[in-house]
Amino acid sequence: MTNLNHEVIDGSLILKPSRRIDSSNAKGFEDEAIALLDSGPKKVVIDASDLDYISSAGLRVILTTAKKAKAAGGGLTIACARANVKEVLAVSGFDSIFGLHDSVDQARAALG
Amino acid sequence: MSLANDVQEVARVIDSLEEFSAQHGIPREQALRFCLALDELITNIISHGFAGGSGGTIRLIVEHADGALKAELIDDGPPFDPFQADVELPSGDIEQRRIGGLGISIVKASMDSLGYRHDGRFNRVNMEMRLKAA
Repeated sequence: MTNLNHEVIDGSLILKPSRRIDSSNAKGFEDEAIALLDSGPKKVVIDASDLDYISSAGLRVILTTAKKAKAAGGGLTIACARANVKEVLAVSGFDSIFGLHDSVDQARAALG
Repeated sequence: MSLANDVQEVARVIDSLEEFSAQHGIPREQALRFCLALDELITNIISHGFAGGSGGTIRLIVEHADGALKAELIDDGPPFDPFQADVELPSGDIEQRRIGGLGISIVKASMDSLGYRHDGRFNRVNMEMRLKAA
């Protein structure tokens, strides 16, 4: 079971996972994120404000979603990451490739 | 606790560790950090050590002692040292980016000590994270 909330704000798809993306539920998140991306906007913001855990399986979900968004002419960035998640994003270098923003509005602006 | 060769077990491990940590007064953020390393190492054993086969079991022992969280993962798969596996360093833009090896980088960044040995029958991975005052 996954906890992925989403909404569309002015042409951006906001994905808001809650609690954990671990090895056991990453596949579910990926399937949901890709389905939302296929049928929705291609500019994606991961709102990580309710997320307190992400493993490398979760990073794979972000990467897959980002590649797909980019191929469709959009992009992906990350907002509101908390300390634990920020640390994992830093170790993986994801903070610099996708960008970390303090708010969803800033993240949307960064996607243009 | 004893774990089946299935990544779904990771959810049970994290839930148990959160409960264990709450009982022992360990701050949740630090407990989750420890869980993350366990998640990566268990996933690694399942995908590389057991190489996608359906057999095999993993035993997990966790203790809270000397101001640290310590764990040992014991599995009966073929000898496999997770820390010696080829680590592909993260590089390139998102088109070239792969995840391989990132799990172990995360483990190394979050644990204070790590060890591996094969005792002739089992793989034994040890890890330790010193706890910081909350």
